[in-house]
Amino acid sequence: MSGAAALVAPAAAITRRRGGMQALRGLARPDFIVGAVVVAFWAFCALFPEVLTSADPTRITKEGLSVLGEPVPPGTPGFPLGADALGRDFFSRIVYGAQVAMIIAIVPNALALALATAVGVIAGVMRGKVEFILMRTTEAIMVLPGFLIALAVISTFGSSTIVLILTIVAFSWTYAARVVYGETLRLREMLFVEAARSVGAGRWRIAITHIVPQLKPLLIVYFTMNAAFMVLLEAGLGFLGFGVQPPTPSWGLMLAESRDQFFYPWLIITPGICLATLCVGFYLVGQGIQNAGRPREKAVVL
Amino acid sequence: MSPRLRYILTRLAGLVLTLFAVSTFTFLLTFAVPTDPARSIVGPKGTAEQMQQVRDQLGLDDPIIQQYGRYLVAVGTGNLGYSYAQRRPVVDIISERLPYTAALAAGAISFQILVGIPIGLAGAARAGGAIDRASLAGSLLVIALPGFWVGLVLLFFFSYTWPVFPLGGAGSPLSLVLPSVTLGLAGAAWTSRIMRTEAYQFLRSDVVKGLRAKGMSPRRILLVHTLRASSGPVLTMLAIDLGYFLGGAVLIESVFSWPGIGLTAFQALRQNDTPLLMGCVIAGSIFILILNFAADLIRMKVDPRVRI
Amino acid sequence: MNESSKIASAWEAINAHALPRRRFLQVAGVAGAAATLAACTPEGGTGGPSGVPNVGSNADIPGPPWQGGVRGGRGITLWPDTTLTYDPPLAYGVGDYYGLQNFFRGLTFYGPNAEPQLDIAKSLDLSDDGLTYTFTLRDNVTFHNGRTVIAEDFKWTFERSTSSEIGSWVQGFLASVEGHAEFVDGSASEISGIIAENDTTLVMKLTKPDVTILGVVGIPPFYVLPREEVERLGDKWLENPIGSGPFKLKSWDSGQSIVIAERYEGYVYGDDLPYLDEVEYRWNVSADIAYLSVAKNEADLTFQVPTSAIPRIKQDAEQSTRFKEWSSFSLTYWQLDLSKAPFDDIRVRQAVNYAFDKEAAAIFGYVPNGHFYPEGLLGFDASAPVFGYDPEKAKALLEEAGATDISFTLPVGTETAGLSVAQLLQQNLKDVGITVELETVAINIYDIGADLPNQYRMWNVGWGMGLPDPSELFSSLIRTDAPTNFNGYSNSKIDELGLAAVSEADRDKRQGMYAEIEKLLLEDVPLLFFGTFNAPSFTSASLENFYYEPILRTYWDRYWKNGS
Repeated sequence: MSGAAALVAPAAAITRRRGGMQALRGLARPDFIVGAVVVAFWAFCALFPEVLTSADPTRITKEGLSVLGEPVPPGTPGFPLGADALGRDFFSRIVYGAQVAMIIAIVPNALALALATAVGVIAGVMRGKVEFILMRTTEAIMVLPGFLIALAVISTFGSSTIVLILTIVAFSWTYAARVVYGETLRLREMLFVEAARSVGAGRWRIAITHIVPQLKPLLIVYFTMNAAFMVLLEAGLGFLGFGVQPPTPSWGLMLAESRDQFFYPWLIITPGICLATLCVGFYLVGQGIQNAGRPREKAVVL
Repeated sequence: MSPRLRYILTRLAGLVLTLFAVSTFTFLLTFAVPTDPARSIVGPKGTAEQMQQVRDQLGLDDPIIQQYGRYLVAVGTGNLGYSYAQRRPVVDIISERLPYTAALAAGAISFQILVGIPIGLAGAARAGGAIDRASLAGSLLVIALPGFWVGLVLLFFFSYTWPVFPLGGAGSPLSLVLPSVTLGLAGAAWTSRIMRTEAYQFLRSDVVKGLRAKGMSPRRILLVHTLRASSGPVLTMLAIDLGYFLGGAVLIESVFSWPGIGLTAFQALRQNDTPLLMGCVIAGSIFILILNFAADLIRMKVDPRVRI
Repeated sequence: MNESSKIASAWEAINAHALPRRRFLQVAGVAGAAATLAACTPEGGTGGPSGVPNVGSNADIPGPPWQGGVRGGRGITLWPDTTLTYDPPLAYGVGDYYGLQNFFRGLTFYGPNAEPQLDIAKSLDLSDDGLTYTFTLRDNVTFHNGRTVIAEDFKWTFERSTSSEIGSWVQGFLASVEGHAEFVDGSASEISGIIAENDTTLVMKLTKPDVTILGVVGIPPFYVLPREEVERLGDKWLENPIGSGPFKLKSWDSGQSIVIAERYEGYVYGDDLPYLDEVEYRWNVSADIAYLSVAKNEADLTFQVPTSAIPRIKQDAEQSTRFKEWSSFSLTYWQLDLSKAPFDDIRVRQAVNYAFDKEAAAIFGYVPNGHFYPEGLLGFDASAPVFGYDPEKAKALLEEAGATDISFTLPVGTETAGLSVAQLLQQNLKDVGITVELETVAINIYDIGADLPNQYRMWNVGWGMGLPDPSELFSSLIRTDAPTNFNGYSNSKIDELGLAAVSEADRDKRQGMYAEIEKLLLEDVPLLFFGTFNAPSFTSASLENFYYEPILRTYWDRYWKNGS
């Protein structure tokens, strides 16, 4: 993913933040607010789908199809966004699709970042052989054509949600690990100069109590950027048939199902727009956090 | 030994090591695949004797270490195995498809350069202006769009509704346009953003102030100096992107039926043609490795912030 | 003439050979078939725009109707697959197999009613006991390299196609020929029952009467090959088809996956056929692109029509004339793992059959008749007691069997129609209390083969027939130890019937035997019955005389372009 690599430079420029209320106020920027609203909307859809729709997104119906077997268009009574090729209510599939998207945006994301932090910090603090092995392994994995391998792994081990999540984690933790490593080194320099003057505390203590908290802003930004990346990754896998399994609605899978359905454009356009808005939301949130409190002049444009 | 030379050699050593790791990984993966290679080769009607013959021929019953050693030697000498589905050497298939992947990668990178760089420069030159704000918003949207979806939409509108381009495949030079645009679109957005960030910082630096004081025209400052100063991170990113494109753009190739390595790998997957799939993985890794290495060299040369 | 009576007359023609009276079938004797033709309206196109009546001398060219065409042009066909193997006994993929008869031809060919008609063999003399077939070959048939085809070529080809080295799916198809068993197990180096008496006389001796033999030698794996070319090319033979068919290879671009064939001027019926100058095969084309290309007339033929496009096509005045759904000799069903729970209990097997709402699957391109045989095939009995949709009965059976809380994983592919049906089935089973998880597998079930019962409880089998005869279904799918009998189903009565039916000369008796087999299947319920695939075809506005027949499918030598 081209963008992630590019994040190395700007993200490394994040400096210490002022804490507390000042930080929050710094977030009162248009991009952050718009992004947060969008993400919150989809989160709401994911958490309370019943509020928006009472239809079962996986129920194949005969009412959803016309006499000739065509999906009914949006606006048909009982089908606010029409139906898909199997006669399922499309609106409800879109709403429930947010669940898959949010799960993918959060779970593998958090796991990947946890792994990345662990690897990056350990490598940065321990130096020497451990550092060499960890970093070389990281690079080795970064180099692999991740998407291809994800396909191969999923088709080998089956397409359960666990395999999907683990595979996504396996191929996305490396970028963050590199950055965490770089940042750990930098922080280390600063801290150990001070620590040289103090007495007693071992380096691990220093690492955990000082370095890791400093990484928080970086990690938060990465979390939001990665969220978008992962959602798109699952959509891509789903498009090829290797994401979340049918009949669970995932927007990527819905795009795969609608690939031939050019006569029913709502089936192709809607999932794409949903994916785009969710990702834009995440990006804006990330950008907002990164630029929180910065004067416009110095804003980093990601 | 100069620090630069040491850096290069270290990276090269890392490259070889990584390739070794990749081969190990693909080897292990072939073992994890549940199908029996002997069964794949003799086909569904093959008898038990035929299968045993194949097992002996390929040494499938030898201890794993031995098979691993043979595998490493094979990869090292450029023998990536024999495709089950197409019944010919994997390297032949890959070298046939490589030009198409290369063409697509070149097309995508060209698009990124031709579109991303000017937009980024223009945005930085008049920061906050119309172009700048439009491009920032636009690039954000573009990055968020799923590439394969964009491809589908473009395909439908510009190959069917208004038949400007061919419907997929690689028949004519025109068929390169839509896949390249789709593949390069997100990259162009990133390129423009990075270009904009770098150029913006450079334009507000003392260097530029000095140049203006000397009376240099803004155009010259922009096109020559700014471009040069900002190119480091951009070139690095382009090199890395090129690597990934050469690694096989499975989704885009699948949408446009573009006969590159990505599509080959996906079909190999569907036909359970493990040697071909792993061959594509290794080939893709090699390209990514080489281009990452090139990116490192570029960064070393061009980016003053990197200290060796 | 409807499909069923077409097939009926076909089999009468076959069984004529088995009557205990000598019959000589001269080329003119194909006039019998021609008379049948005259009584039917040919499907597909009419004469060309210039209306030039055909003046060719070979009015009796075997196969579907061909008169009235115009020479010239190129036909383009699009395929999804990528397995490029034009070696007849090995070609297995959808696209390869149906291109074979353009490059190769053999002793017999399939006529418009799927009946075998003499082709390279110009006459046949059958002994009274039905055991010795003496073919007299034409002396003017040549391979693409110019050499004349002789009887020895057929002997060599038949031996190669059924050899253990090749390991083809047709290996057992000559089982009734003398010496075949010894050849296959290695104790003989040739099939003693195939004798090339001289260049134009080929004799085949059988060990027992086999009414399917003429049909067997009419399928592509038995089309004649030039030995010197096969041996010279070695591995490269797979992509260098050299035969005696109407087209020869012009170019092969495996990078872009395009194969171009051009007219072979030395073709035996070359005064008249083929009409087209060239045929182009394009591979790796996905269904949506294939449909759009043909809709725009940029390509001429595709069999991949997205099911969502079908209602639209039918409503479009112009496109609907270019679209047709053909019945195909195929079937699809789910094999059930008989060795363990839940399907070791016959009541559970019956329950899933009652639970499945097959009719609802029709919109995905199936003919869900619930039978084992496709309609029109010998053995099909409309009165057979197939399962209907009865979820209440299903629930009752499950309760009786004490089977609650059944859940398992169903493997599915990525192809849309199959996935849609799987989801339908999943919902049907959920409604009667059985939970099914779908799992996308890239793996072909044939590759997992005998290991299937260890991994899954139920899996889908799809089968396109290679011979229009139920003996193929019997020997490949349901007899004990059949190659595709993955769930270990075994019924000795079925085995007995199937074996006897191959030699039975009386058509009605054969019909009865195969119908009995289906009845036994419906009693034992080793599978979840479904039906057959529809074969949709979509052609361009400029392609004329398109004719589809389930076994060989496309006849590029007799289509022509009308220049529109």
